[in-house]
Amino acid sequence: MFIALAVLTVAEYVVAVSITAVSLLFVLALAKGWLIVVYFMHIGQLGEGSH
Amino acid sequence: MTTSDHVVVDKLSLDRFGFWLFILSESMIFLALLASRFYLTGFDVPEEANQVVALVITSILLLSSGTAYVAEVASRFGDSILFRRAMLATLALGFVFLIGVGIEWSEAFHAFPPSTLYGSSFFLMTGMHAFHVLTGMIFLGIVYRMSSQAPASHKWPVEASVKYWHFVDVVWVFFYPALYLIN
Repeated sequence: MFIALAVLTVAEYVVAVSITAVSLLFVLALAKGWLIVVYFMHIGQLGEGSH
Repeated sequence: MTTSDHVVVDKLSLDRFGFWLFILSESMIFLALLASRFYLTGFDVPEEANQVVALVITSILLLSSGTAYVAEVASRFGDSILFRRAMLATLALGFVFLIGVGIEWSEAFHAFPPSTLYGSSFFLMTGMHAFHVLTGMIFLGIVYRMSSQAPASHKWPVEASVKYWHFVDVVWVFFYPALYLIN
């Protein structure tokens, strides 16, 4: 997961420096946020009981 | 209403629900800051913004989310040694992040002071975020102290403090491109 986040961060930097596409930067940020919320913060546990 | 109509909610589920409500309300504050930044200054980022420091502190914060995750897993399996090491690593990375923000601030005060439009957004956003990093470190420190002997017996405090730390990371995921990359 950390590698995926690192790759996306580098991709953000490359996009900002070379293409400067604001919408693409927004999509990359959303993807990173989604990965952290789902895999690190386990938002899916909300609907579960305590296990 | 029959007995089968009752919904049994255990304490941990309720704790988690309350935590996510808190995260939602916090998100509104950060969303307002993000919106005000674009409203005030559009899509401009000053050339003086230190891209190297920003990239380094972003990587450090992402790495700290990884170590926090390791601490949570170690806590779940009752591995107190790994838990302690991972928590200390997370705290150390948080501290380094704050130093990085301090370096960036010392440069930014000259390049785009708080009296400018971009400067006011920049210092408000990074200041608010850094304050949350600090409170996250205090939260992690308290949990570390109370559960370093038997982490498995403090399941929810460990989970909550680590989730809060991840939230601080998520906020930076959106602040980083908004403050440094978009141009």
